Amino acid sequence: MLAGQPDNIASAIARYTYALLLNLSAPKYLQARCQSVTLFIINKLLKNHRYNARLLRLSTVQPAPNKGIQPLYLCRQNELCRRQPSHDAKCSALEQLLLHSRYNNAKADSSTVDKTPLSVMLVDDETDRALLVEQALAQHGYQVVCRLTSTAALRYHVERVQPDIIIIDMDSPDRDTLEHMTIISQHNPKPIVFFAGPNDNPDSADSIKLAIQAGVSAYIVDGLTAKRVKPIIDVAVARFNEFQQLRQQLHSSQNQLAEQQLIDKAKRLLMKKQQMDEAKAFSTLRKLAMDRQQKMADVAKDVIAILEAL
Amino acid sequence: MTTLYRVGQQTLTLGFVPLLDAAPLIVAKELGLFAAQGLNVSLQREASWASIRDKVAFGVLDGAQMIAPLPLASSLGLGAAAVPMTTALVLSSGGNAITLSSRLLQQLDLDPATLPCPLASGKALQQYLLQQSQQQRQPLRLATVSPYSCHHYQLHYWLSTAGISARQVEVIGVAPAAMAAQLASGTIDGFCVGEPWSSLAQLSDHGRIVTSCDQLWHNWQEKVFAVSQQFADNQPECYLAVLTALLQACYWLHDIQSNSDKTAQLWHWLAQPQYLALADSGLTSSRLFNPVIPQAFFGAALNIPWRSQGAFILQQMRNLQQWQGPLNQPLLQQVYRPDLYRQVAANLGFSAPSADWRLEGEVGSKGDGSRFIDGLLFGMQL
Repeated sequence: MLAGQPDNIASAIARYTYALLLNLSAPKYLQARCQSVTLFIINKLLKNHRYNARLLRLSTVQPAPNKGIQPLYLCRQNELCRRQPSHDAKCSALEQLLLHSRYNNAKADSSTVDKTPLSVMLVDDETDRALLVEQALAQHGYQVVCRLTSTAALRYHVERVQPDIIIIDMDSPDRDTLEHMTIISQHNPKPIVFFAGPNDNPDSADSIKLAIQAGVSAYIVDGLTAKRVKPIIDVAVARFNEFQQLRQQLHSSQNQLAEQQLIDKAKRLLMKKQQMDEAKAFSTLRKLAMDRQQKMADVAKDVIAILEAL
Repeated sequence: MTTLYRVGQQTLTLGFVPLLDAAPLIVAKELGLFAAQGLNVSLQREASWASIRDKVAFGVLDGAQMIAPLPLASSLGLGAAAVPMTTALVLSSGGNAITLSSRLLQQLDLDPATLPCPLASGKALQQYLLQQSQQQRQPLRLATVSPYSCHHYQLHYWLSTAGISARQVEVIGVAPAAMAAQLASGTIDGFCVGEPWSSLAQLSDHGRIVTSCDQLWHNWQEKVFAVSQQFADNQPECYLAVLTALLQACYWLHDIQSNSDKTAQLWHWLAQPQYLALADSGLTSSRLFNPVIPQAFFGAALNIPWRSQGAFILQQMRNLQQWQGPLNQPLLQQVYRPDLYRQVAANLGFSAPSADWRLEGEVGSKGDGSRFIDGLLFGMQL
């Protein structure tokens, strides 16, 4: 259930509510109603949990430091205003608020909050790469709650899993779908944003550039600090790069194998049709390659074509 | 050949999204217009506008084709961290269209063969939604490509002219290439997308084009060429050289729809696997441009980035509650650079409008002004 001291919770709620109201683009009369409904729910819920609702003093509340409160909650609140929802709906809405206020309180309360494990969602059509990343994250103590190779039902899964971080292949066409979810609030239980800007911190700009070059992009729940996210991104970037190298190695060894097979086949044909022994067949091929300044494999290809035509 | 700008064998990587209006970049590359400017340009295909924005923001791409509202959104920090971006060239106008599924059209009692004007079809949709809301069914689900695109604003504009509010429908994001499939599977009931994806969806017979967006916003900027402010500041000569090559490419694409030799050549270029990979798409050279969906690449008043259009886009952002703030602001002066356009156009001998702002919605005597379907006039007190 709800953790932390009543004061903390109350102030967190209060800060959040205030931020909500500030961000609310609804007309004034709606804002006023919103305010009263929100206060009503807060009182109700706090009473249920035997907290003292009088701790809430909206007048003393400071605006939330991070302005990026996403429209989800705004719309939730709007809907609350319009529909007069059931008690349960109000409570669950507030619990959501509380859940997020925990992240916002991270600085004040980092000892307890940092222990909450972050849940990660991976979206990557390269199954092997996704597995590699998942294993690495597990080793570092992060839980991958959902791994998607097909993005067909991306929206559904984001709504269902509500991950803290989504790591998605930079080149996935579904990034625009995710971007859209950041503004379509009622279908997006968690606000998601690309992290820090290049001008905020040159170091983080460099690491983001490296992430982009590796093909990693990420969306995080608003309010998570860069400090908590960076290790996860670093793990993903390292594995994406590793995967790229593995694939290049595989590619070059496959090429080598294919070339060797061509040379072997040419040798066999020479032995069979020209009655050479193996050493002679090989040296013939090598001499041809040197004379024509071509690769052995290319010469072998020509030899095969000629001998098979005979 | 001597070039106007000192670029010193500069190597650049420019991004594009596989759409018909990526044509200016591809033409500039294939026709050797970049090379003529002393630029060594490689084009990189990107799968999403988000990817384009991030790569330009962090310098992985030097510049890119962008949906017109994206440089504004990026400079404002909408949907991502704020990175100042700037544009001095509009690459195209038109090319978008709204498609509704055949299933929905049947329910609207509209004959797909003789669709009425967009205002009437919108009205039919509004009546349908009115009945629907009484029956408490699943909300109508429509798709656009990006929340910060003309598609998104045009779709909402069409809905609002019919008296349908943004709350009555659900608008989601879907990648252009996935639109037709999602329409077929019934995940979405309609969409607004750029060419060739509307035509391809219609070919597959799962939906019908109800209106081109040119009917909604006539003569409107669609794609722009944008760079980060940092690039524009650090490499001004190089930037001008790129703009010059691109404007020449736009001129080459002038009147393309009536010139079959050019369309054949263009189809050949676009069809290549590294660009639009059209080979098996069912789109042939003679059907490259859909006559129902007007698309233009060059015009006396088309390629200049009108600040008034930027202000109008800001207003759309405000209407949809993506952003709040004053319309006439210094930001527009930084993001839209008609002055740079005029410089580039003058060096190529093209005439360019001398104004940065105009009254949007007034076609004007030359017929190159904009026009809104509902007759709106949008002007700013400067």
